[in-house]
Amino acid sequence: MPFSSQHDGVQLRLRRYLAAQLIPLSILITVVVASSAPLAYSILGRRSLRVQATSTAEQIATIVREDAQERPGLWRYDTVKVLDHIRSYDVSPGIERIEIVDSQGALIDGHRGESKATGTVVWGTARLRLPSREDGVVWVAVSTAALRRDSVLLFLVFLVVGGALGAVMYRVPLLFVGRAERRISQLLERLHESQAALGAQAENLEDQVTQRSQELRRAYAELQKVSARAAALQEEERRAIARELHDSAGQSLTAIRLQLQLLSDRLVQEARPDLQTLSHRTMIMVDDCVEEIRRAVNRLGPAVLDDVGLRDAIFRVAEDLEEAAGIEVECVLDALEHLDASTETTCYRLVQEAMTNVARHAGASRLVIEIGRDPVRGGLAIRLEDDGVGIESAPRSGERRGLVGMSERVELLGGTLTIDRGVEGGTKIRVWLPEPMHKDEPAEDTGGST
Amino acid sequence: MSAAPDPDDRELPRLQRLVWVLVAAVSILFGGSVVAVWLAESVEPVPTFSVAARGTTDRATQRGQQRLHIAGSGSNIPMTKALLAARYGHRHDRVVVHPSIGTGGGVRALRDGAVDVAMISRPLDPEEAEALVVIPWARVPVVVAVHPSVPVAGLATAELIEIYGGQRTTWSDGTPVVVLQRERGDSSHRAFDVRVPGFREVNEAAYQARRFRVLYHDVAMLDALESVEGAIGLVGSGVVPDASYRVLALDGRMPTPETVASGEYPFTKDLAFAMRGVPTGLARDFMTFIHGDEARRVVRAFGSVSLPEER
Repeated sequence: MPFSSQHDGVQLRLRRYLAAQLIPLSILITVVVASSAPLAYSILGRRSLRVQATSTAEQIATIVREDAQERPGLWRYDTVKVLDHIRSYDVSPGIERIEIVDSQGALIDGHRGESKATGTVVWGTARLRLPSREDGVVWVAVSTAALRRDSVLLFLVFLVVGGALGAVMYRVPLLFVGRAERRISQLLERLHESQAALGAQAENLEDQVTQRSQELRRAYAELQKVSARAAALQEEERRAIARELHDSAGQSLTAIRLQLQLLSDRLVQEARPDLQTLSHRTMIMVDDCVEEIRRAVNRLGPAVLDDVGLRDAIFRVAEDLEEAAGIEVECVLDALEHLDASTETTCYRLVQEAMTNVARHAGASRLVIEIGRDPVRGGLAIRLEDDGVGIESAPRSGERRGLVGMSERVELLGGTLTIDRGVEGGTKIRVWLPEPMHKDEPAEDTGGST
Repeated sequence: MSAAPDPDDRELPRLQRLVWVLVAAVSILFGGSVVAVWLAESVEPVPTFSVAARGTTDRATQRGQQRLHIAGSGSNIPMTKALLAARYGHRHDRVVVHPSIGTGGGVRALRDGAVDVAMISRPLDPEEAEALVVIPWARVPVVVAVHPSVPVAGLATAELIEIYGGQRTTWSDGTPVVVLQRERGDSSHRAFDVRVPGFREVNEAAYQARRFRVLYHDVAMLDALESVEGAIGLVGSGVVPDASYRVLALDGRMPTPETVASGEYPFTKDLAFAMRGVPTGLARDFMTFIHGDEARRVVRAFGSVSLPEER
């Protein structure tokens, strides 16, 4: 093949490959040129000699016929002298034998006897028709020695010519291919160098990319930690505010309510309906305020988590759902202890949202809530699966807001949330939250590197 | 890029194998064709020529002695015809003198029984003469004959050497010298080969160089001497009466019966008749005649001399 693979790249073998192809063709040219001309010369020359022999035989037959016309019956005796004369003087060079045989095939000059077999001759004949009906045949032998000699000479000449032609055909293409091969080799060498340079650059870039990716991952992880910590701090802050509102403002308003109730009772006794009405309105205002504070506290952070803890809080909402919607709820809860506030709140909100969706949109009869430690990745794994109609590809706006909110909460903590169709056709929500920060752990320094 | 060696480098691709197969096939085809043509030239069958059996039929006998057939050397023909005319008249049809077939042809025809008498103008080889009866009857001069236009009456033998050697190419009047040669072995040239020193060599050299036109019949020589200006050649028929060519003196000597008989003109050859046995019948009659006085007169008229009958 014209190429071969080496450890240092591709090596061109165009010249060698072409040489291997040209050798047989050069040999073919040499053989054809060397042999065709002498072969044609031999064949045509032999034919020409045969024509010459036949022509000479016909001329001799004419001479003998004329002689026989003068010597009817005795022509054969004069023919000997005629033949001697013709052989000696009148024949062309190359005529080796002239014989005349009578009708019985016997030589006219029979005293010659059997002549030697020369071999390298061609024979020509002519019919000898005589007036006396003593027909005979004139045989003329023409030597092919000169033809053979010339054929050999022609062969040698054309052998040289054919060899030269074959050599030219062999050398000239190789010459040009050699130049092309050198040029291609130079280009390949440059290409190889370029490839090596590109490879080095690619490796350098890859190292840089890897380094940057690692930095980004670290930054992202740090960001997630910061986000989680911020979320945790925010959640704690919200819970603190909620407790403060509940403990201070809520308690005060409750006391005011009691005083107002006492005042209203006194006013009823004293029959002061105008003041009683005022007192009643004031009590209503206090109730509204208490209710407002209660909702605010609830938005800031589920108070139930502080009251009963996550596990019981989940059980309570599950009971509420069962009572309100008749949906069977199965809870498998594990590893809920020592979770930080944000994680607890997120878990509780996830369960709440899932239950809200099940009650409003899923049309399910059963809900499974499974919370526990992820055995593979660590962290907290949450599975919420119902047997309802399944989440739609284009969920309703309420559903969508809820899912978006759940996803944002999870991402804020650095976790993942996936929503699939369940095995039995319902909705399966899988959440993973990273290793939760425990309540008792001190806060991290959020001034870390990004 | 892989660091392992390419296994394809060790394995000849299929296409490359196909190319080598094609090259081998074409090489074998061409090489085989060359070898085949070479061998074809080497194995061209030589016709198996047979040797004709000598005829044993005596045609003359078969003809019942009705006609005598004479054939052989053309040198004999003029005088033989003259003798026959003298013996049997000009309109005789008893003896047939065939056109020249040469001494050797005449002997072969005689042995084959195609003729009754062979005309001979050179000494026979032992094989030729075996079992034949040879009767010499005349000694004829071999003359230097020229076309009547040639402006010389005689030549020296040295000049003759120069002419046949190619050194002299024109006559004194500027006309080209046209030398007419006879075939190798001709009896007339043989006579000069023996008696003119150097003639054999120049004559042979002329044959080798194909310098002159070579004629192989007496009739052709006579026709050329009569028609080609500047022609010169050797004629062995004697001094033919009323010939259209001129006879030159050689070294100052003209061929006459006297100079031939005395040997003063040495360039001669003997004519003879050959037969398969003792002549009988018409042949005997003619053989007897040629040694008679009338025959001698005829022979003298050709500038020749009769030879005595050998007993």
